[in-house]
This record gives sequence, C-alpha cells and structure tokens, in this order.
Amino acid sequence: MEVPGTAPARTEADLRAALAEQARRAPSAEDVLSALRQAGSRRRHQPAWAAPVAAAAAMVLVIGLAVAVSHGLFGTRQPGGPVSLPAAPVPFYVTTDVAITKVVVRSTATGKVVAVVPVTPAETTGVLVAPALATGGNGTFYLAAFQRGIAEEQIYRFRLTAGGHVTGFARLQGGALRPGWAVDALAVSANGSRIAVGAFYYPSHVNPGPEQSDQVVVINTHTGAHRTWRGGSLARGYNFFRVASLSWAGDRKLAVLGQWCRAVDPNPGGEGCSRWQRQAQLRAINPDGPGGRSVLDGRLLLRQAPRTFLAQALASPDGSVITAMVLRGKIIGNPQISGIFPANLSVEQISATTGHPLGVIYRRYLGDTSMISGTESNPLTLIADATGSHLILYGGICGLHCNTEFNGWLDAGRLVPLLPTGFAHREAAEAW
Amino acid sequence: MTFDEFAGTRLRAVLRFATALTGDPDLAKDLVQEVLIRVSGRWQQIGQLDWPEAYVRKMVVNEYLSWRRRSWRLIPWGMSDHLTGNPSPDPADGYIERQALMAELAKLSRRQRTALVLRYYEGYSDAEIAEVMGCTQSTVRGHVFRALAALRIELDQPLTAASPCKETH
Repeated sequence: MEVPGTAPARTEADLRAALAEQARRAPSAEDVLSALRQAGSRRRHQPAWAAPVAAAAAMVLVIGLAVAVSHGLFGTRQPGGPVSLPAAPVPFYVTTDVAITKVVVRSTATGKVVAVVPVTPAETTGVLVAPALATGGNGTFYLAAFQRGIAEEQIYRFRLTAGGHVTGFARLQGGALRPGWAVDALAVSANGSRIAVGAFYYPSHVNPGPEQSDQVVVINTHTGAHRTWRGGSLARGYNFFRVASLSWAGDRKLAVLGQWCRAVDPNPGGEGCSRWQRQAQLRAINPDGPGGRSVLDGRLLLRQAPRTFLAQALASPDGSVITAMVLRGKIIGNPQISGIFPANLSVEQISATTGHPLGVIYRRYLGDTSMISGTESNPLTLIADATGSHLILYGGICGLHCNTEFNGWLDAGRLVPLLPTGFAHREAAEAW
Repeated sequence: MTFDEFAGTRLRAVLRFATALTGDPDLAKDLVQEVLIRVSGRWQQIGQLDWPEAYVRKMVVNEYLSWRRRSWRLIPWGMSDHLTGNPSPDPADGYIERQALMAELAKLSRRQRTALVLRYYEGYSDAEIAEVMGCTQSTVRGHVFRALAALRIELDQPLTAASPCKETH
C-alpha cells in the first residue's frame, strides 16, 4: 500500500541487503578477544573484595549497617490497579522517550500530553544519547540533547507556565559540551546560577580514543564559564569513574554520587565492572573551587557498604538530608548469568549533619536482577522536584520477560504510578 | 569444544549478528563482549550444549533487549555526517537507499528489529524466533508485520495476519 507522496515500497531483497550491509560493519573479533583476555586476566589476579578504609576526617555513613526501619509507617505496596490515586503533588512532569522522538510535558494526574518541548533531536540508529532533564524550580527546566544541525550536545532552558505550556525555550549560553562528550546527568543550583553536568565520553570515528571516565562540569549560567572535576582514583585501583547522580545543596555544595570501578579495559564500553569491583561514594564538592580537581577532594558524605549497591543519592536543597536508593541482598535469577544488582531496593534517608539514619521511605523487591550486569547499566533513577520533597522512582532491572519495571512517585511509602503506565513511551528521562 | 575454540571459530559470526541487531559496530562490540565475559565464566555448562552458539546468540538478544538508560548512552550514529552535511562516500542510488533503510531500521522498537534480524538476516523460522525472544509465534509475526509496514517493505510472499503484542521496552 503506497500513500501518495511517500517513498515507493521496498522489497524483501532490499531489507536483506541492508541487514547484510550492517553486519559487514562488524568490529574485529580480535578486538573483542583481546579485551576478553584482559578482563579474564584481571579477574584471576585480583584479590578478594575488601572495603576501603574510610577517610578519617570525613563523616562516613555506611548505609546498610544501621538503618532504622519503621514498619508501621512505611508500606511496601507495589503499584496496583486503578485504586483511587492520591492527588499528584506536582501538576506536570517532563519526559522524553528513548527513541528521542519527543520531549513532552504530561499531566501527572492524567498522563496526557499538555505540551511539546520544541527540540528536534538528531536522528540516530536508535542508540542516541538519551537527553537529560532537570528542574530548576519556579517552573524552569533544563534539557540536554543533541539537536539536528548542531554537532555538540547543547543545554536548553525553558519554562512551564501554571497551565503546563512551554515558554522561553532557548539554548543556554555556554551550554555546549565539548565534541565527543555528552550529558548523562543534570542538576540545577537553587538560585539557577549554575548547572552541574555529569558528562561521559563517547568514542567514535570522529572522537577517537579509548573509553574515558566521566567528568563533572559546572556551568555558570550567567557567564557560560565551565569548571570541570574528574573522578580521581580510590584506593585499590578503583580508578574508572562514573557519575551516578548529581544534586545541589543550595548554591554552594554539589553532591556527586560517583561509582568507581577497578576493572576497565580501553575499549569503548569495556568497563567490565563486576559487583565486587565497584565502589560508590557521595562527595560534596565546592563549585566555587578551582576546576580540574578530583571529586575525591570533596567531603565524603556517604559510602557504599559491603554487599550493597548504592544506585542513587541526592542531597536535599537545604543540605540537611540525603536520600539514597540502595540495593541489598541476593542477586536473583539465572545462575548462569552473573548480575550485579541485589534484589531488595530501598529508599532511605540519612541526616547529612549527624549521619543518623532517618528512616526507610520505600521498599521494593525487584525480582530477577540477573539479566543486567551491563558495563554501564545503572537502570535505577531517583528524581526530586525543586523542593526535594517529592520523588520520582524510575527503572527496573529486568530482561526479556520484563514485568518488574516501575515508574512512579512516592506517596507515604507507596509508589503511585506515573501515567501513562507501562513504559508505553519508553521513557528515558523525567523531571518535575 | 573449549571456550577459546568457540571464540576463535564463531566469534566473528556472533559479532556480525550483533552488528545487524544493533546497527552499530561499537555497540555490538560492547554487547558481545559483555555476553562473552559471562559465557566464559559459565563455559562448563554452555559448552555442554548441543549448539552453544545458539545459546550465546540468545544471550546476545536478551542483553540487547534488556539494555536501557545508561546502557544507551552511546552514540549519535553518523553524527558528524548528519550534522555537517558531509557527502556520502558512495553516491550510488543503491547505497543511499540502503543507508536510508538502515536509518529507518534504527527507528524500530528493539523487539521489532530483533524479529526482523532473526528472520531476514539469520533466516530463523517463526518458531525459532519465538523461542529466542521468549514469546509466541503470533507475537513474532506481529513484530515482523508492523516492522515491515513501517519500513514499507513488500514481501515476496505476504505475511499472515498477526495478533497484537505487548511492548515492554
């Protein structure tokens, strides 16, 4: 069936030829084999995992050892059918899909699209960098995306009116990343004067070179000036750095949750980081300080405990509370697959000033977590609104028969599904 | 067969399959490398199977279908060429058409794309695709039907009607 004005139909032979041409572009087997030998060699020679010694002067919070659980107060109910849902605390949320076809504003109450953000992303093979979103308060949002006709990833700013309309969409001055770098996390300071960017490098034919660690770039929104922090190296060879989450405590402290890995090979995506080769710490860096320094120079706020996986950690806007998403327990699923994610998820709050646990605000059993052990997989996201008091939980660790994904907002210990449910639009980034 | 023998003889084919699946050589390399690390650790069991390569390909499919978010960091495909307007290295019509088709393949859902690759690159039957993808044959036909319609492909032999299927990714 041909619609007037559209391209003519193709044949089955055309399809086979296109697929064969793609297959002919396969990388060298030797590259993969050598990377595999290196990974195997590293595994054989590495000692058993041992917790790094805490920095003496810093307040170290080892979550997982002494978390208060208030069973009566905090429920663990899974999102269920259309029971009466509580009123949404934030009227709209902004979301993108993985295919990057649209960035839209949806009503939190109904899930209906109320506005479309006028960005036209570049076409890709479907693996384009998912754009990052962040809220700056007062209806201001920031979006990072590649846009057709612009080689560097750009940061854009727009506002949502009370009715959910998009206004003032514009490229941010100084909001362009260097070629070869892309945004994976965004956070806006309380007064909007700075944006923190978790940037990752993507090697390609125009951006050659081996895999690199992430960087934290702080951009002054008034002057466009950039300052950059690198991950640094933890003891025992944890020197490959990923930014897991960013948040601001006011305007003067940037909380960086970094994940350090010690099994990295030079091939793109070849981190090869197993559960035992990964460490995470939440560090507070001073964005007024000189750039070019290490995240590890910042104050240690939180450290991943043994046998846990610290997936996300956000500082409240006043800096008093840390909200962390933590996985504990066993890796559930196919024993032939060595996953890295324990199956029991909890969202916990800790006093940033005393280090005392304040409580567990949500628990969830993730089910089969063995299917994802990906080098860069961090499929769990904690998203706060500008006040820090309303949280979206997004993610899921699941494979082919996936029914354990979740995408909702927390209401008194339960997860209220964000509409529309079921990842119908393959959401990739959200903010509210 | 040892793991080294398997890798030495079959890795190239697995990589080609993964490249057809992902449409991106670098991503395919990551995918296969990730899978092979697990395969090497479990070779005692996998090597005992009648056809280890089938199991490995199934793992590649599973890994591809399960990647999400940060796994999808990379890469703006052909970014520089798209954005700078560089001329295509081969101006022949066939080449350009294949490029266009490949770009449209990339817009398919991963399940649709997987079904197409298994059928038209690997030559699998519906039953075999269903086994690899863990769904019913009618679901497979649904994926293929919709993918072909999106790509405006006219088949030599028309597909039978297909039932709708659930997309989870």
